[in-house]
Amino acid sequence: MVLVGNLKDLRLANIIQINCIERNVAKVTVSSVEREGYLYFSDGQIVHAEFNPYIGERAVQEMLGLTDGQFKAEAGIQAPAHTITRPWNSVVLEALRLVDEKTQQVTPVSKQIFSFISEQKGVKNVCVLDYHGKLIEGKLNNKISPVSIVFWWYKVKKLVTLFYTDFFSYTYLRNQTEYLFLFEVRPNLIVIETDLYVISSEFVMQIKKILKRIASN
Amino acid sequence: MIKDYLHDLTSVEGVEGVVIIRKDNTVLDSWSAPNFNTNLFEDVSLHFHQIFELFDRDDLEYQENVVSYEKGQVYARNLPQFLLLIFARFKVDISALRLIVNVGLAELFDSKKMQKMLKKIPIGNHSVLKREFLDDVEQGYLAKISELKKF
Repeated sequence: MVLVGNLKDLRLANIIQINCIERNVAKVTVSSVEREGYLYFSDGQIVHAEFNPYIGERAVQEMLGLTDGQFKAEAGIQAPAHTITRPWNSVVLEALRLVDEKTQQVTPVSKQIFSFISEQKGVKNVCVLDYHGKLIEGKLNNKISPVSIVFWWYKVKKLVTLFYTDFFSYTYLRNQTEYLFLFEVRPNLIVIETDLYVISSEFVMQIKKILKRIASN
Repeated sequence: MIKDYLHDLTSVEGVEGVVIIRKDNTVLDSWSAPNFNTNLFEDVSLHFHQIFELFDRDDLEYQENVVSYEKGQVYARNLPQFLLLIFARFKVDISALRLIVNVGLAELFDSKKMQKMLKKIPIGNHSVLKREFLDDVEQGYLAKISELKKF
């Protein structure tokens, strides 16, 4: 069976996910204006990828950076080589992270967002991190390592991408004294510590509104 | 356990799955709505065990993690003996779930029968942050955390 479509309608990450979850033996050909690439699937994994001049994970990474083009999925085609050994979800997540870093200008989240959030009732600390756990702006409770936060974000994102074919929205932790909220504002993470008097659902709505307002300016 | 102490959760509209998982990531009890994929339980819980274990190392003692995505949310409650996971649609109010959970868990821990049973369950984390449970990126983050702690 052959399935043909446009990457604008069905994202390559989703095509990969479908083939892996359904454990298809398949070949997906991706054609952009300049080049053609191939992804091979078997036993629930991506086993091989080519995107001239790259093969293996780098080829997957380059193909995931395509925003336009055609794809063709063909069932039952075996891979000519085995160049990828890591689990598919790790390959895709890492590739998407790198694509993000490459395509988006790595600039600190605007001062405006930062000050708006800091002014919200119940907020104790706000900080902006990059995906490596580097503190770009603000501060955090001394006990919390920024790299632990990035690990948390990565796990949650992996969980959502892997099991729910969906996009991560936000997450938060709660202990006896505070909430720790985490929002992704590509290519940064915004981490907010609040007291327990905030109502989590309302607070999230508030922050989302602020982020949306500033993004549209 | 769920039937006796957390039954109210299963009748909340939009709650699709409830699972109690030991710290060694084996299921103690579960409930799910028809057509809900229960094969996910242990895979999902491993991620939460790892998140809580990492923060526990720094004595941050987080008891809850809520993960929200476009169509739904997962509520994770970390307890000494087990992890409680609730899979719910997006519209479900987490504060209401928390209240039900608090009441249910208080009854559960008060019950003599349960106290006996819980005594048999080892307390504490099961070192789910071992290399075999982590991908390369996660291992990289953990290595960085250990490195930073040295300074």
